[in-house]
Amino acid sequence: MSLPKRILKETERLRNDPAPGITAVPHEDNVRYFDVTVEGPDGSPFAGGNFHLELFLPEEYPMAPPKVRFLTKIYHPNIDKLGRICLDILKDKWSPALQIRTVLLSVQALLSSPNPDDPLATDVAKHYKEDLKGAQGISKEWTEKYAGKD
Amino acid sequence: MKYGKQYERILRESSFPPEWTASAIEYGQLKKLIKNVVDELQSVGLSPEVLHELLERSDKPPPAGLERSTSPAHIEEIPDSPTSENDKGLEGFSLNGNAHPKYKGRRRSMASYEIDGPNSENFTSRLRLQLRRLSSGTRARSEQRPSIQSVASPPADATADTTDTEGTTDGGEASVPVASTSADEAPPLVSSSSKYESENPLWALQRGSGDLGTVETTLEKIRDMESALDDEDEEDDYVPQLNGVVVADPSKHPHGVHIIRDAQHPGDVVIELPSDAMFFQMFSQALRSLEHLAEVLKDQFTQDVIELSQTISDACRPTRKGQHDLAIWREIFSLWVEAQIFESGTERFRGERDVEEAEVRLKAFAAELVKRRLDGRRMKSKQCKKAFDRFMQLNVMLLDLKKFQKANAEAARKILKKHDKRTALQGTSEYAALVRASVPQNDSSPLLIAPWLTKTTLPHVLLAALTEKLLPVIPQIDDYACAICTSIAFKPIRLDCGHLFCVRCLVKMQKRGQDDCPLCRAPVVLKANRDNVDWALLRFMQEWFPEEAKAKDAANQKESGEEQLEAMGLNGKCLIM
Repeated sequence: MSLPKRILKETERLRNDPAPGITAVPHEDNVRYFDVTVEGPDGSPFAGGNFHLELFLPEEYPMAPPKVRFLTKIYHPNIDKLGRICLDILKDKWSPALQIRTVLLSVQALLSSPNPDDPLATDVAKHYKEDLKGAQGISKEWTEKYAGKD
Repeated sequence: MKYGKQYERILRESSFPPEWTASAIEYGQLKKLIKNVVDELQSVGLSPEVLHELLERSDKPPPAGLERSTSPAHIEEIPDSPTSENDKGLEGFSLNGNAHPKYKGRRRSMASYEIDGPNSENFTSRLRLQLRRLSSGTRARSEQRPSIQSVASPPADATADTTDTEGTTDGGEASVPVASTSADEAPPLVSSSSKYESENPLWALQRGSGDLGTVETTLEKIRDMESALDDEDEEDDYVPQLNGVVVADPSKHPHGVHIIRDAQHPGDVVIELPSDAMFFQMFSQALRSLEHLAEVLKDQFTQDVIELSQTISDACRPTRKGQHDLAIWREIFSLWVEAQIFESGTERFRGERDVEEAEVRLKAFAAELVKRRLDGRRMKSKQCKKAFDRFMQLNVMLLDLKKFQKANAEAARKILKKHDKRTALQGTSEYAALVRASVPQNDSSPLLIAPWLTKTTLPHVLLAALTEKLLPVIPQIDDYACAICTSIAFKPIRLDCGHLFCVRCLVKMQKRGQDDCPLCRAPVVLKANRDNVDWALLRFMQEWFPEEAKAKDAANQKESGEEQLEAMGLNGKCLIM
């Protein structure tokens, strides 16, 4: 199946008018596969970090959501060891009017506001609930350790 | 190169219309006036060095946020009427960062510089020297007041050099005539000119700076003189009061400087600076004429845009005759929007571009039009060709205006900086505060000097007119696109929630059982049917976007056909076998 016009448009806009703190570049051999970087939002324990993600547009996109995963290790209650993200719009709350750009902005926002009540990484969530300061300290440590600018 | 020369060259060499150059800031003349101000100050011994020292001391300590603010954020706190001065006195000194910018610097300290008046057209400029008030008449009164500001002054001054009388004396005082103020409290002063010859602290200052070298010792000397002066004050007669200020010596100082005693602040010596006032009046005049020019240009430009819009919309109807030119205009506008010539709309950088960048982009845009043969030659109707020329002229005018504005804003900034540097008077902030206080904060703020004072600039306003009035004349496909496939929403289905999508995307959603509207999540997708077709819009699309609508329709059918085959268990490959 040929590449839908919409994907071409999105790719072009991501290149020409990128959202602040976010880059998404398609692979040369597979234009549905994107290398993504998201800057940790200021004011969060992830500030200063440069997080790598992968994003894949399935055949059904935009009827089905893109698949997004963190490649950089991150200490966050809604992101597990494998980098899987617990974010409603990537699952049941997906809308075909959402785009790669909006998805990545949501991921960035998730870094600003972790939701330990809906955890994916239960141990991290527990830590966040019981000792917020200490947990944030670890998040910061991990950011410095794993998400340093390359 | 000196900016004055550079500025003249810009004005001379650019192709600005004569009425623009006539309204431009007269940099050279203003520069001459600065020299007069310096002479004036020198005539009373206030060289920039001495003055700087005096003002520095009195202006301390301005913690970061407390400096006489030049940021427009403080505008709303400025009281409109001078009557609020009394209340402001205390508030203004609360050091909480919300203080009135104009009053912040007016601590009762060594020296302060004031540009004051009811508005930016009518004002005077003066220097207030606060001499130590330790004479018997005033000391008691001083001590009754809360000591608010003591950090700023040398420790010796801590008891006397304290408060703002405007805020702490009884409310009526500022407005009542001097006669009602008892002599022992606030003795107004009348001195003969001969007294000034011998005792004028400023003469002393002049001598002092020469003889003793340091401002510190000079000031000590002045304080002594001032005390002596105060003793004599009590025998003096009252004089009529002008604006709360008592004119001490009606005869002018030989150099044109007025020396005045402030009735409300015994111990103050106020020096009127006519040349300085003249400088700022001339500067004000220049701003006003630029403002006027901006108004004229705005009206003219808006009129031009309206006419242009009318011409294009008349000549480019989706009829057989107009269709051709319509397509060309659509492409021109689309390229123009994309080129973002004057302002950038990207997320990383939003806002006005600088002149150089805009020029490069305008040239690139013109080149692109020529390359795509969109430069009017291919247009069929004469009106459209003319309109095209007009459109390009408006673009060039916007660019020129940007240049003109930049030159003027630079000139304004530089001449004020020069003023401040040469005289040591903090004119920029004082004047800005005056203008802010007197300009009602609406759209009449000076548009051509804008970056110096406000954020809205004339090119920005004009560009908005162009974008808002001209572009909608030709419908653009982006305004009729489906949010899902991003192509033209054909055939258009209006869901019960009011959102519009193309039929194809909604069919796909229905097949997947997705009921929520992609834009508002209302559960309306599954119940959409033939009744949801927006027939009026469908006809509009067929009329204005015939090609696009046809192509989308074909693509829809092809895709739907493929899906049906797939549903039957077939696909392209199977068919070939």
